[in-house]
Amino acid sequence: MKRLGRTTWWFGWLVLSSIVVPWTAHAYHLSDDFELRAVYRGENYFRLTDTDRTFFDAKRKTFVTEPAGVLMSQRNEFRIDFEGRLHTEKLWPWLGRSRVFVQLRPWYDSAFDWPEDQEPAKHQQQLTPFWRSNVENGELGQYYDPLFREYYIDIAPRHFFFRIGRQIIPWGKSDGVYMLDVINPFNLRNPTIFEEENFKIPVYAANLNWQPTIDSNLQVLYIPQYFPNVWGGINTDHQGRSIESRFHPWTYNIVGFFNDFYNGEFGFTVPVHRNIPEDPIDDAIVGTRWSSVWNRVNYTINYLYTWTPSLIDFATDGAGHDVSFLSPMLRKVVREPRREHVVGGSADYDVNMGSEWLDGTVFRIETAFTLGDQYYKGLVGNPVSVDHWGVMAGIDKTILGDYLERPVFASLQYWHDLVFDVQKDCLECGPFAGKFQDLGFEGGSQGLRNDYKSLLTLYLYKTWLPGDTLITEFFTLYELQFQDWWIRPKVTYKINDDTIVAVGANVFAGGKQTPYGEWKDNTDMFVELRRTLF
Amino acid sequence: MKTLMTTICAAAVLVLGAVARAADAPQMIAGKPYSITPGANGSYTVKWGDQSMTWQPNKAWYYDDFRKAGPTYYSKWTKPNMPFPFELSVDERAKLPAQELYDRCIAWHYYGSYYPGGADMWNNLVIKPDGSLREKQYFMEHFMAFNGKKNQQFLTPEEYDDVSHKYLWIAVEPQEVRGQGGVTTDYYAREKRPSDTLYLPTVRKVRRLAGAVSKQFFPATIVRYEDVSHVRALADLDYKITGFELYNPDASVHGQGPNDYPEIRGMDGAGDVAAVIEITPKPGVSWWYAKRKFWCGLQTLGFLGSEEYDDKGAKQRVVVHRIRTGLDGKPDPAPDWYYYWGALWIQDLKSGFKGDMWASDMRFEPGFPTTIFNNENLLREPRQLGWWK
Repeated sequence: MKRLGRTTWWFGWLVLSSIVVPWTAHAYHLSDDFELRAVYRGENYFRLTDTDRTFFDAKRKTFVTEPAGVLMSQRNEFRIDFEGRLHTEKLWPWLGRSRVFVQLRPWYDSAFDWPEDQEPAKHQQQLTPFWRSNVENGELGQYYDPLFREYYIDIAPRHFFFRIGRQIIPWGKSDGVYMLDVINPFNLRNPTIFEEENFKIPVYAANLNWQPTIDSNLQVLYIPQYFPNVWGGINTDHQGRSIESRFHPWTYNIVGFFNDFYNGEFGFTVPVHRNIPEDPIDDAIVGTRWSSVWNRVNYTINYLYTWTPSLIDFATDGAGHDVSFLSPMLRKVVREPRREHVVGGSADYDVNMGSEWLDGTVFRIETAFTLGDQYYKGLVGNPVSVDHWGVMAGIDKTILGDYLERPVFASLQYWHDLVFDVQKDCLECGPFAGKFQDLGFEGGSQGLRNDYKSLLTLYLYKTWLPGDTLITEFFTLYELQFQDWWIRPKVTYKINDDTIVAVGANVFAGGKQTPYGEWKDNTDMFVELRRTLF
Repeated sequence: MKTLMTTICAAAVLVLGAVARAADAPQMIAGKPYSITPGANGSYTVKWGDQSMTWQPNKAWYYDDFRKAGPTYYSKWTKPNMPFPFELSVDERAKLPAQELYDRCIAWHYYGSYYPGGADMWNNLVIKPDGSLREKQYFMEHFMAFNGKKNQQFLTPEEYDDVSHKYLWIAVEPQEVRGQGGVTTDYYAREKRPSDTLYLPTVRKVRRLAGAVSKQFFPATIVRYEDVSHVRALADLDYKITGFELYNPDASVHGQGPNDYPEIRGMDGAGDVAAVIEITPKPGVSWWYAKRKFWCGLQTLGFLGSEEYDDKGAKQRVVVHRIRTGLDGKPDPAPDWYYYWGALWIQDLKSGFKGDMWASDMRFEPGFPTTIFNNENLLREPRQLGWWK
């Protein structure tokens, strides 16, 4: 235990005392118009498999195999919300009342201090700059999972609503599949997290809304700064070295594969240079969304001019010319996004026609054309510009209501992605040019997808006990082409209004190069604790 | 505010003073003679047909004016020229079909069918069988009725003849549910089930709520949507009036006790003549009760209480409703004949749990913008009443 860091102890003491002290939590009202709230949130993930991981060690110039370890994550997070109402209506009555909101989320993941079999903890040096905390130095803590997570001002003249500042902006009607809902990038430190507010990276935005009629809304977005998705293994040091290798427990195969490549698997190393668009005007993301109701159908029409959500690796000769990943001329990888258009819409409708069987059924649909996205041609082909069409069709229904006092909410979704146009003059398209490298790609053809890809999800939710204090959830996902699975049961219990515990598991099955089967070794159980402090 | 003041003046003329007199009470109710006679120590003897009861001013939570006037206070809702749903005489009310009487006693009562919307804080406690507090929630409520082509500016043209009322709720406490919210739309056509949306802050999306949810529990409470927002007579249920009785609540029932929540002022309907409405599931419909008895005051048109029974005839739930009026209007007072939903005391006799809930910070005519029920507003996660200003 002595080997645990001092910071870990400090956090541990804070967490324990927060939970043990039997105070009653109330928001701290600084005045009628200003209040402060604080919540502790802990999550612990434990690997249930006794498995190894293999990576190419850049120092020893050879592949190394080591135990994957049990403790995957031990995140301790405080969420502190400050909220204030500004009586701007007293200055300008037309402006109405305004609001300021600031959310701080200091967090510390002590799993990166925990020694499995080494001193110091395994790969602590490589991982902690990115993944241990946001109260230390590090780009991730500064920009992608920051201490000041959301802060904005709401201005609401009658029939208008403007939210200016760093925020999360949701689009679409899908659960867990993202076609329109790509305004906020993702922090994929753990891709099994469900709560979007916990993995979406807030963006700086002017979120401007006008309600021209009583049930419609026109939204215009201006986002001056681009943030990419953040993946385990994607970070590099100042020399462009892929130092994270496969050390992060949630390193996707395709990321680990290329890290091995860049770290010298084929006898030479390849530095990675990030190139992030920074011009707040020319490089800005802009979008608009119209939402309204027609014949009881809630619908939206969306358009977003944005960048690829993830940075794309382009192989170059070091002098600005594109080359193949397989070319001896390869000297440098430029990691940067490309512009894309997202055009689509969403709708939902609840059947209400007097039918005992159909009434109460909700139909949801979301569709998007993504134009100019970048997919990697297989095998180890270069990224090419593709246009693809996504569709999610969902059915929600409360079932077993005649038999259970608290019935089951069931939600079934089908999603597909169809590549319908591919850049014709791609450079070095790879030997499997008709296919694309998916997330589980590890160098074999099993990790390739075709133009068409689809999956099904099923979500069941049921509460128990008076006051709905016990909640059970079951989620499963099955990919129709890859034939891989993700199964996620979870039980949540509200100990009291201020304290909640949850236990769950993530079980993965399928081929080792499939997008979910690749996590078979990460089959885990997790424990969460949330405690409102004030 | 101008509208409110006009209404207040009109109301003042209508009621002709704060305290009603025995002579103001109806002489006949549901075909039988009705009388109120002052007794000793502020009590009143109420007779209706061959039934009688003694009304006592002994409940700490009675409004002061009600304590003085006794059951004669109810006559303010029987005057001529009152707006819907009070426009009918007491005798005409007694002859209404059960469904319509039910609607008038709860839906049009809860949703203020004579004022342009209201807002309040719903305080909800879940009490364990041992009397300790299990859960506590606060919800903001915003509601409006559209009967008689009122408040049409809050509807789309396609909703004018279709939508009877709307309800917007937003959870404020505890932190775990903070920001959750939804909009209920109810319809004139009984075969149409109310439709609901639900906003979850963790995903920040508004979703249609799969129904039909009327018989299901409202999130994190021991009441059902049927008790909260799906309060018109439902298509799945049969309604019939089984009789009338002089309402004399049992003070031993939770919520009726003289000192049960004395700070929640109101009235209990004691001494009014109540229609007893029996509600049963239609053949083939599975419902959470086999029979419900619902008491509706004919003078007050107030929901007074209900009892629910299982298919073996065992009582499984008791509900007490405390009638509350414009006297509670904050920050703007309203006429004392204005209603809002008030307070409910619910005993689940099977689990032993109790649900104690009441409204506070009641705002009549709160000056809503016409877009108040737009689902997009839920994404703003409002925290405090008055957020629309």
